[in-house]
Amino acid sequence: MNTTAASHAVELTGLSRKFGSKVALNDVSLQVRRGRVFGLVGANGAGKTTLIKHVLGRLKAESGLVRVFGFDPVSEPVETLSRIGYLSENRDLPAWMRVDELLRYTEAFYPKWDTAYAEELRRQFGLDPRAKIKTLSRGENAKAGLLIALAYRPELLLLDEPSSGLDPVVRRDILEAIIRTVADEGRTVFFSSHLLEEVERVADDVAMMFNGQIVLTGALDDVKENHHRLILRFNSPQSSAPIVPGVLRITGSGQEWTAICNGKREEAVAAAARVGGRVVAEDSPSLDEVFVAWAAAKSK
Amino acid sequence: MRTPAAALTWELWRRHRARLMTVIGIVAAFALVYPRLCAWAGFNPDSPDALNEIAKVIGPMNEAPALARVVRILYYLFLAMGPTAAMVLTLLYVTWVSTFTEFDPRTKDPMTFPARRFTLPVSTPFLFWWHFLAGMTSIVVLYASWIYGVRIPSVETFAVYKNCLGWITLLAVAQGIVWSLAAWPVIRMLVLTAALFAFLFSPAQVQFFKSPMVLPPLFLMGAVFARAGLQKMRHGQWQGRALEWMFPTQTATGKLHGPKRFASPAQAQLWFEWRRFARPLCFYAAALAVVPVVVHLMVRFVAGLGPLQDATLFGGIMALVAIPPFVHFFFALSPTRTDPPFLMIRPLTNGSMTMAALKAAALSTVISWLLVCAMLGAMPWLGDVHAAFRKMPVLPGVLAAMLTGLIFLTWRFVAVNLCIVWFGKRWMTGLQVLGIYAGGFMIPILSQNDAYANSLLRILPGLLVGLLTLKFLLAFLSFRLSLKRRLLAPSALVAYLVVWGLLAASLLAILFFVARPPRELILPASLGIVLLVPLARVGFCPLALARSRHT
Amino acid sequence: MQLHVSTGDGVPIYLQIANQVKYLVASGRLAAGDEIPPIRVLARQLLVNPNTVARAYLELEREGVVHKRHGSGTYISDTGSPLARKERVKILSERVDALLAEASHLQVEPQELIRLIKDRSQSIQPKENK
Repeated sequence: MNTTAASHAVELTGLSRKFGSKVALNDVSLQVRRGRVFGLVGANGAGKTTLIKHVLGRLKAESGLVRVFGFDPVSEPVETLSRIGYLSENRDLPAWMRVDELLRYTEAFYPKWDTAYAEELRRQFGLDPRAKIKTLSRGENAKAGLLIALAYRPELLLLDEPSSGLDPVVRRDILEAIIRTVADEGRTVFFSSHLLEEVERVADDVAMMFNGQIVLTGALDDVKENHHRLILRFNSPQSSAPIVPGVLRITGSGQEWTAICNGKREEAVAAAARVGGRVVAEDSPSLDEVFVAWAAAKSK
Repeated sequence: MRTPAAALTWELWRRHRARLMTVIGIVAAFALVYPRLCAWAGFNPDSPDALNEIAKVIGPMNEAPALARVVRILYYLFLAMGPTAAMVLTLLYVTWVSTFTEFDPRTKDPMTFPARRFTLPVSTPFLFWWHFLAGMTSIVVLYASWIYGVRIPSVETFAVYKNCLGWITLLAVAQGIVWSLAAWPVIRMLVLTAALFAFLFSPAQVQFFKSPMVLPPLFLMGAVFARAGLQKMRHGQWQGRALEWMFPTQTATGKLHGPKRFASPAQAQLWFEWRRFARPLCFYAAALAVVPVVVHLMVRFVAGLGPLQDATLFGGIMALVAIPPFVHFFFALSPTRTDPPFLMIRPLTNGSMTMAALKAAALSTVISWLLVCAMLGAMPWLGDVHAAFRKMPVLPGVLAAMLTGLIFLTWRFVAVNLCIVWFGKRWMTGLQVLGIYAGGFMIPILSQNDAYANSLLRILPGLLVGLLTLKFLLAFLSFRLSLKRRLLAPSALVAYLVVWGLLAASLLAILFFVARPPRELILPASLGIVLLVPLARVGFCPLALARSRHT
Repeated sequence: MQLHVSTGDGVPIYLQIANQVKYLVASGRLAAGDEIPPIRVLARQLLVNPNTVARAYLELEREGVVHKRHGSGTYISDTGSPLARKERVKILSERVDALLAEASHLQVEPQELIRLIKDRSQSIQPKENK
């Protein structure tokens, strides 16, 4: 039981979860700081949705702790859920409701609902109030879900794969909503995505998950600084990818190869030199490349 | 809508508005129209034993009845048992609504509790109490309106249903089962069926339910399981070995199992239709037929109760025999039969898809009837079958013919509705059902008057011949169009015509040699049989499929 | 103020923003005294995190390109403020070192490099007749 002066919006400590024999989460620890945008990236099946369900209290932690603003979502559902605005991956809005009915219905559950703001959002998203939800396109459906998650200005906006299957226009709307949320004082955004370009634009902190484990976590700027993309040139054309210890992933052909390494730059350069490669160029990789590199490294 | 409770109540009303209005309409119809119907027929609903009333009117029936008298008997049966049946059905319906579950298109589970309810900022006790009380209120209100608003004739066997505590116990048990067994859909269905059966058709006397040792503990247990189940559902516990996690999305090296190669596309399509609808239908029939009989046998031999009463045994046999047609009837009208794009792009002619569906329907008919016959074979262990049938004034030949007719009708439901469902317009199936019921009402009303009855008998053969001509004409046109558009292979058409001929011939043979109807009925009966074997509507199937495949 | 950011450029986003503002100032599209949008507005326009924009503005302020006026917005500074100039020259000399290293790697002579600089400078000068 804690006050709202808790320093973290979400805190997971040693969280583990198994479904039968499959390990969905393996000793996951995470802190989401208030007022920041936290991006969770991972492949399908890495455990992102399972993690989010623990934050919502939809799954009870088998071992480890879950705290949302200091509250346990399982034993105090009202305290946590009234502070969370949630957009689910499945878009499970009731198909038979109309948009205006959905707004009126959701309003009854949240005392901080701002009707004027909801109306402004509805007009901005271009949703016809008399339209039935089953007639909405996929993008409009996502926008409707986002609308009822935003209208009461939740302290934590929780989005599970918000851009999946959506066209660029709707994706812009969602990104804009994320930015607007965090620009308001003290509100936090936590979203999971595998559109790394978007994560790179809007996230303050990132965490990467593979097979239920957090592989790296930290401020996005730090992550990008720690990773280096080295363009190596080898003395003779290589028929297959040269093995350079300390490097996450190496791609290319012939004499020029691109290596992504994490932190241990000097070791990588030395190791490359040992197999006949020298660095000809160097810059920082995009988050996408970092993710793919880690995926390759982890699947070995 | 200011409070969460009001919002949830509004959601319930809005979502089931049409259905609840129908229920209210049925109650109102029985309250207002039913007394008139009784007065018209000279039937007194307030008499202490309604079946006696009927017996007085019918008299002994030693010879096979004339058509009008059969219809009149059916009408009286409707008057006697209709209200009770309607009461039971509407109460069951509201019980289903009060489990607050929906069909989940992702997992195809017919009763899932909507996950979005759990992300609302309401505590679990609040959720439970709201759902529980809303359900109880609806049941009690509906029950009260039946008992106090409608003059239900009293029939001794149905006195069990006039027990309010029984109905709310059933609701509590249903909620308990559905919510605590949320992770195991098949087990949940079986247990639910068993519970429904125990409540509705138990051989227990009224005293059994009145005893305080039976209903109150069940009610409490149901409520406890419902509360616990809801809590566990909310936090993902009691999920067991949910199957999706047994098959990880990252597949590695595994050998390809599964059936060996199919001999032809038609075989593959038949397997597909079998798995898609025929096998589940057999499961449903099995659940409905096997569970009650097994429960009864267990009760009989373990608890040592005596044999069933004749009337109950008779009712049980009738129920068993009704299961395959019932299951197929509901399946045939279900709108979820419209085919997904996956199926539509198969390089298969519409004709062969029709044939595969018809064959799969035949398979499910045969298998579900085999199951029912197996259960019928267990009937002698439960009571004295001969005594039960002594009251039934029909010759064994007629009985056998009716059974064959039922088996044929089971398949016919699916065959006949295929084209309507593939056409894609839901309202057409509704229209058909309405037509059947309208006819069902009109005929008894008309046969009240003997003059009408006689003239009906006279025009019947003419009417049937006209319909037959229409049938053959439509069949001819539809088949010709299908052949021209190459939706149907000529060999498939010939095969179906042969099957049709054999079916019609065997049914006619059974009519003549087994049922032996009286003279004046032979012609209409045989015309009717030929009319019943589906030809034109099967002919329309490839065309209907073409329309929905290529719109 | 039209800016464009892209991920995967190899250059951090805040640096892209800062560089583009500096380019706009240098090419005359932003004059001294012009106001640049508040952090929130620019963040929403570019669809990037406000903290990133804040970092870019901080960088620009540190280099003296912009300055904040007490709570009423951020404005482009006059060029030629002595304190900022030293900073700017220092940054530029770092860039020049990097440019020289790359040129030597690409085997371009320093003389050729100087000619290239002169050519480019002429082409981005604001035109006299606008």
